[in-house]
Parts: sequence; C-alpha cells; structure tokens
Amino acid sequence: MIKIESLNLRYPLMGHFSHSLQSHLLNSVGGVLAGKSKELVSYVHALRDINLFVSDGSRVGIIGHNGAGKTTLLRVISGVYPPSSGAITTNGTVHALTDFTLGMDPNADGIKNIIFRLIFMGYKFADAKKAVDDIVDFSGLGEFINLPIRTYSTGMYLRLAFSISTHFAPDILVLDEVIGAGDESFRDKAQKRLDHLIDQSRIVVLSSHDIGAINKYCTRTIWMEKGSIMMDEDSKTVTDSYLSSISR
Amino acid sequence: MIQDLLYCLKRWRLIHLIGITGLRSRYARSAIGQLWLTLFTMIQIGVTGVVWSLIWGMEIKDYLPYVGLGHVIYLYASQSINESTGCIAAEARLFYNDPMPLLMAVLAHLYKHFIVFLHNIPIIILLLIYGNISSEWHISALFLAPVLIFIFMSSIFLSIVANRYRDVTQVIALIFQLTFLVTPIMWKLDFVPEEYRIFFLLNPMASMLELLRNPLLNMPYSELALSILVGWTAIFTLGATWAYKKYRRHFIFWL
Repeated sequence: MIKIESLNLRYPLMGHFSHSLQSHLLNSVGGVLAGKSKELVSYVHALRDINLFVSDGSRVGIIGHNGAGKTTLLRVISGVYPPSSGAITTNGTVHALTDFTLGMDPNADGIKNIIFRLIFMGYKFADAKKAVDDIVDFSGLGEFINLPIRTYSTGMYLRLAFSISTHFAPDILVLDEVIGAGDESFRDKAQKRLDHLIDQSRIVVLSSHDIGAINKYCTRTIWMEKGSIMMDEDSKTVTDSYLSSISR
Repeated sequence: MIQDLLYCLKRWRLIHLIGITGLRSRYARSAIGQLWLTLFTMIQIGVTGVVWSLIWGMEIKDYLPYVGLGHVIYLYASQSINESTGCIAAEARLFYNDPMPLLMAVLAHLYKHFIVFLHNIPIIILLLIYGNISSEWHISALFLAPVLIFIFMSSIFLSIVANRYRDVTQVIALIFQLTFLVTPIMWKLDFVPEEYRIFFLLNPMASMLELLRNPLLNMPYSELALSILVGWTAIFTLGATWAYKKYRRHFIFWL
C-alpha cells in the first residue's frame, strides 16, 4: 500500500551562486550593511498537492509530458526525495529499477558484476552466488561472461544488466520507462521476464511515454501536468484523453 | 545518525564494494596492481628521507624512520579528511536510485583510505626494523581509536558542508596544503623554540602524529596532544551532528 496525502515538493534550483558559501556569507554580511539581501536559492515547485492511494495488487501507470513531475513522483515513492509538506506512507519495500546498471564495474568480469549488482540491490554474497548460474544462463552471454564487461558491446552490457536486475521479483516495483534489452532473440525473453516481474510484484508503478506499455501493464493511470495530477482513472480513459489532448 | 550508521554497517558489503571499486579502477590494468600504492609511498619516503637528512645534517638511520612514519600517517589522515569533501557527489547515482543514508558514501570513502593505509603498514614495519627501534606500538594502537574517531567526525562534517557549499572543497584543499608545512613531518617539534611548540600542537594533524608516531619511534609524546585531539573531535562531532540533522534527507537536492 502506498498512501500520499497533500504532498508538495519544492527543490532548490541549482545556479552558480546557490552552491557557494562565499556568496552566502557575502550576502548575509552585505545584507546587514546594505539592509537588503537578494535570495540566492530559487526553488521549483515540482509536485503540487498530490493525493494518491495505491492499494496492494495495483498496477499504476504515470504519463505526462517531459518535466511534468513523473520521475520526481517516482523518487518520492522510492523514498529518495523527502516531501516538503504532506506525507507519504509506504507499506512494503520499494525496489526502484530506475538505474539498472548501478554498481556494475567495467573492469570486472561478468560473473563478478552479477555479484556486485546484486549486492547493490541489497542481497547477501551467499544469495548472489547462488543466483549466478541462473543469471548467466538467462543472459545467454556464454563464454563472454568471463571477460571484463568493458569489452562487451552496449547491447551485451544491457542484456547482462537486465538479466541481473530482473532476477528477483521485488515487493513494490518502481520503473522509470519500460526496461528491455538486446537483439531480436533476446527481446522476447526479456519481454516474458518483465511480464513475470510485473505479475509477481505486489505493487507496480510504471512511468512511461509508451502508451502501449501503459495500457498493457497498468489497470490505472495517472496523468501528470506541471507537477499536479490532472487525471487519475482507469488506463483506457486516461490514455485516450491524453492522446486526444496532444493531437488537438 | 546512529540509526543510519547501524543501517550502513548492516550493509557492510556495499561499503566494501564501493570502497574497493574506486581502488580497483585505478589499478585495474597494471601488472602489480595495488602494490603501486606501497611502491609510491616507499619512493616518496626514500627520496625525502635522503635529501632532508642531508639538509638537516642528521643520521639517515634516525631520520628515515621519522620522516617515513610521519608521511604514512599524515597521508592517511589528510587524504581521508581532504577528499571527504567530494565523496557524496561521487556516489550520486547510488542516492538517486534508492533511499540511502549519506553516511554510506562517507563510510565507503573512509574504508577505501583505510585499505590504502593498510598497504603502507609494511613500510612502517620495515622502517622500524631498519632503524632498530624498540617501539611502544601498544601505546600507538591505543591512540588509534581517538584518531579514527576524529577522522570519522571531521569527514562527516566536511562531506556534508562541501556538498551544500561547493567552494568549501577548495578551501579545505588550500588548508591542507598549508597544514603540510606547519605539521612536523619533515622537521621535529624540538626544532621550534619551546614557547611556540604549543601553537604547533594545536593543529590536530600535529597532535595526531605526536600520538601515533612518537610511541612507535619510542620518542616522548605530549599528553596535551591527546586533549587537543579530543577537543577537536568534540567540535567536529557537534558540527557533524548538526549538519547531519539538517541535511540527512535534503542533501539529495544539493547533489
């Protein structure tokens, strides 16, 4: 269960001076002397009054234009961004697959990278070692698995990352864009794996520009616009109005 | 902070991996790998030892262990603290994906430098054998605890402040450049007129050397150094607690 109540998020916009202690000191001293100081840090109101209840078993899609606040909302759900006001309660452990190559080291071989990546995902060395054979098998990289992954092509690299990241089904799955990898033969396998993953997770939140994927995986969809929720209904209704708003 | 510390320690595997990855990428494709670490320090110490023993007109057998131990300890402490200013930003990807205490980056950074320090321990042993010194190593070992706590607290404080205010990185780098000159590494505190010695000891790096190096070389150490170091640690602990409370969750916006 995920419950978000009148949540707002403002975050500092980084400029040349917002990061400087020198400017801050000058500003406060100058403020005393000149009687007026200018604001160094400006804030973006990234999420506005978000109310959302996601019950167990839900498959929720998030759509919207670039900069509408989709990724920000995902990060709030993952617990990365603290809300400026309002509250979020999550029941369960969130696994974000927003960065599915995190922890991989180009200089180490494939086997080692499987272990590294799983440790980064929060598993123990013993669990990781047990999973190695299955992952190697699924990735279909064969002998290449013993080479440093800097020698891999981009496709092979992503294939390995995908195989590792989707090996264990998470409790609450947060996805920023549908992930997939590889050539024609692998794409089918990856598709099945992703279907399985989405099927196994208790809650799935998927943000995507791919309306087809949203309609396929999600029963309910949120349309975000300028940091607020524009519409929150079943996927068909929301994606239809979204598409018609674009073509208009 | 303590809760986060426990959480990070529970995920020690991650600390280990992040720490090691930094080192591995540096020595990945060299034949002797991390032996470079040891070699690098040895050559640096050898050259400074010979040159400065001639300048001071001191016996090399006495001077080399002095300058060598000083270097190894100073390098460890100064690099740990100095480079902590960039350690949070270096692990930005980690923080964007999952909720992760910022302490994780600090711990991984300190772990990495401690590993480097361990690589230099053989040099210390070699130098002690070379100088034929009956060292009071158990006293140094005892003082290692306050030194590590000092490094830990100052690194937490500086990493957070430097993440928020990026020019702090430059200020700290500058301070450490000066610290090298005012810390008795190449010269001895005895060279300074007695009434001024206390001012040199106020520098935490100097008091740290006094506590770790002097017993190892069987030289007298000032007990004042311990009080000074504890005092600095208290200041940085206050600073770290304040900064941690303020930026525990909001540091992410300043990455």
